[in-house]
Amino acid sequence: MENKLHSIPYLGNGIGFKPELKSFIFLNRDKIDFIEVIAEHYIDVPCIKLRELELLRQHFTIIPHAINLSLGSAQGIDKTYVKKLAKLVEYIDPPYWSAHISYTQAHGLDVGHLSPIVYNSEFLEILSKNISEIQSSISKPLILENITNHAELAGKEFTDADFLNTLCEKTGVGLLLDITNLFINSRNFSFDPYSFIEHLNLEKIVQCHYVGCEDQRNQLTDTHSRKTQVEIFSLIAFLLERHVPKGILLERDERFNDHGEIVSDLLMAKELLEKIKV
Amino acid sequence: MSAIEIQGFLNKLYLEEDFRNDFFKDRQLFFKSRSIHSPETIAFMKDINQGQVEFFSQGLYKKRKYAVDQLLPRTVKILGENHKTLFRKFSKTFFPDGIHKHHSDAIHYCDFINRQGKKSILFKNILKFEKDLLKNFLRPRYFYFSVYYYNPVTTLESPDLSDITAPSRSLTLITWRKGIIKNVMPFG
Repeated sequence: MENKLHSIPYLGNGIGFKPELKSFIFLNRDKIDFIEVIAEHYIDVPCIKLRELELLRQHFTIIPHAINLSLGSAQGIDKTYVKKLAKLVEYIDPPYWSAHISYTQAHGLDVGHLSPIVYNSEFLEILSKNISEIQSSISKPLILENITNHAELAGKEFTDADFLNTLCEKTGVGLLLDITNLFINSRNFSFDPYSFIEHLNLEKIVQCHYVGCEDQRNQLTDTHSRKTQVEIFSLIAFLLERHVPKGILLERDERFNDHGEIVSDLLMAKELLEKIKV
Repeated sequence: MSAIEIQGFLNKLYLEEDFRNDFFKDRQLFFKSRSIHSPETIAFMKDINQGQVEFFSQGLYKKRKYAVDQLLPRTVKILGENHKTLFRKFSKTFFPDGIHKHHSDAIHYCDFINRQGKKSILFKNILKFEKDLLKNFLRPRYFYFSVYYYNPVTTLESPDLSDITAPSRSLTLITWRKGIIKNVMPFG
């Protein structure tokens, strides 16, 4: 798996695909090198969605991003879903695919949102087992994303950075560092995001996500709907000075009509990437 | 408390309002009534921050409602203010899961609304059409036919629903193919 991560080509500047952004993406191709699709949006869907995927595949490198995998579920992962996901990844044939360090399902209840796991050895084992199972079905390299955490849980045995490093080391997965999620957690739980980055094994960071966040009742939340804040771009710049991931990607999920904001974010990211290249 | 028990408990805490209220109202009573004696479990549960959990749970609820609002735009518009109350009530009776959980949620919400007393034929018509759209998206059959008392496509094309308060009836057959509307045939 380690070698597989090293052989991933450089992708550049990306954006998460949403049907509402289809025209925008094609009209702004000069700023967009690759796209990410939500894997579940192309599983068990009518042909029209698969035709959309085929069109995208003809024009862009696509990274499938799974949101329903629930890799942190102690009950294990859904084998039927994994089969469908594997088929989709095979069809897209991406350089890698991504999912989250989280769980959504337990005891027949689906939380409906990526929920945090406890960073301890028991959950490290659960993740490792689930990852190993999925790696036997999907051979493309897997990278995992850090999520926002709004409810702290007791029983933590690792620092966040140590947990991510250990997980990557143990399972061979790469890291999808969501800079916005890191920024949100650092503000909500008062820690230094720069120091967090310095403690990460940077070589494992394959891709980054970013987007603006919102303040709701004195808590920052990842609404994926705002212009990216300067502080988030500063964190990206800080990371890029130390390590250049294969791609950085804007993850905008709402307020699609404000094209000016989206263009401005894409241009800022492109500028940061170009500075590094120089 | 095993990992699987922790996650089962947390999911109930995040999703079920009554369970959450019971827990935060009096944790000692909660432990006693559920025969929770393990010091480790009690320590874990005592450490849970009410403000953080409430914030997360409200976020989950908002996200869920927002997704349904997007999938049933006309139904939600016609329901107006009632939608908030109805959806809150509905959300306690059904917990969606799976890849297309939001679609499934919206379909079940349509069924829930259908069970709530009398409705105009026009509203029933719109509800049925939006539900059919979702059902056909989830389980696209090669061919599917559906009959409406009003032509849902022309009535629903109007962005301003005040235009369709009393459209004239027009019996309409819609043919779907692989989840997509293929033909709209008004015949009355």
